[in-house]
Amino acid sequence: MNNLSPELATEPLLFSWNSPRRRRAAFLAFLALSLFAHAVCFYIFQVVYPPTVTLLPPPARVALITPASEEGRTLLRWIDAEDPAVAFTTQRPPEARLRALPKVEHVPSYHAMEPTLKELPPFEIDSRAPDSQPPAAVPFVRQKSASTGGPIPTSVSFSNELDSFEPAILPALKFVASNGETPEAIRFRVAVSKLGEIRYCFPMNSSGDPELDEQARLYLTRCRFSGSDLAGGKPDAPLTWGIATIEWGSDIARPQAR
Amino acid sequence: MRRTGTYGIMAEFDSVHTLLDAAKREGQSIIIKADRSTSYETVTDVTNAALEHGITSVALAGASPR
Repeated sequence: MNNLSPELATEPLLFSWNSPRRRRAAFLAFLALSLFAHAVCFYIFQVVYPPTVTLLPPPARVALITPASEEGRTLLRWIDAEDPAVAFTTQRPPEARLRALPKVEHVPSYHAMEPTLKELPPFEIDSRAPDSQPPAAVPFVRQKSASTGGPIPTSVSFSNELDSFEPAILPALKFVASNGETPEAIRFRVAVSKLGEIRYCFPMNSSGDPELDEQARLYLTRCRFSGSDLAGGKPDAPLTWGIATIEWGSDIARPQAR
Repeated sequence: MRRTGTYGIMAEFDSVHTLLDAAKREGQSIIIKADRSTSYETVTDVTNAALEHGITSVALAGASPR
């Protein structure tokens, strides 16, 4: 087959057997261009505009915890146990009962009792012309002393233990105080014999004035009860004890003020 | 804050936002428990506030078991 004739050698070939250099060069150029394009794209989309990787958050969900399941009941019990409102709220003990106060309605006194109104004085028209001169000076009225009543007499009284006697015969009252202070009522425990005389006289308190105390004691010793026939005229009959009270009045002589 | 990582919140609504921020930072869940005198609007406001703060787990506690 290698020994071809010259005719056959000059005759054009049915297929073109040219060397594929140009095609290979085009292929290499295409590869180079593609590589360049990939590099450019990588630079643009990875360096200049880096891709933002975003992770979407999990979707929000609102759950409802119900006691339908055992897990829900357990969770609700735990929530009740950890409820801060329980710790911050005053819990009324179960045995305590609320004592509701009755509803009290305020009723004014003028609703319960209607006040009586006074009659208005008749309206009188003063037809006189007013005086051009001022009225007269207001008279100065001195305040009278507060003691509007008469003098209060000094009184002597005896307790009920001595009621078995007739009323006592009291001498004239004449007491002289040693100072200007108001004495207090003085009481004596007295022992009255059946003859009506006061045998013993012990002061139970002081009037505040020793001289008045002594005068009162002497005064009582001069008092005499009317005769009592209980003793039968015996002077050694048992004594009757009672209490004599002297209440001082305003008839006590007082020392002159200097 | 308790050992279990939960908060007990009793606060005015104005201060809830601060507490929700803290809960969000620590990734806590929110359980909303309201008594019967609380209005439905308040519950929804708190729920929306929790969702707006990015808390993704919000639970509404129902009635306690008898």
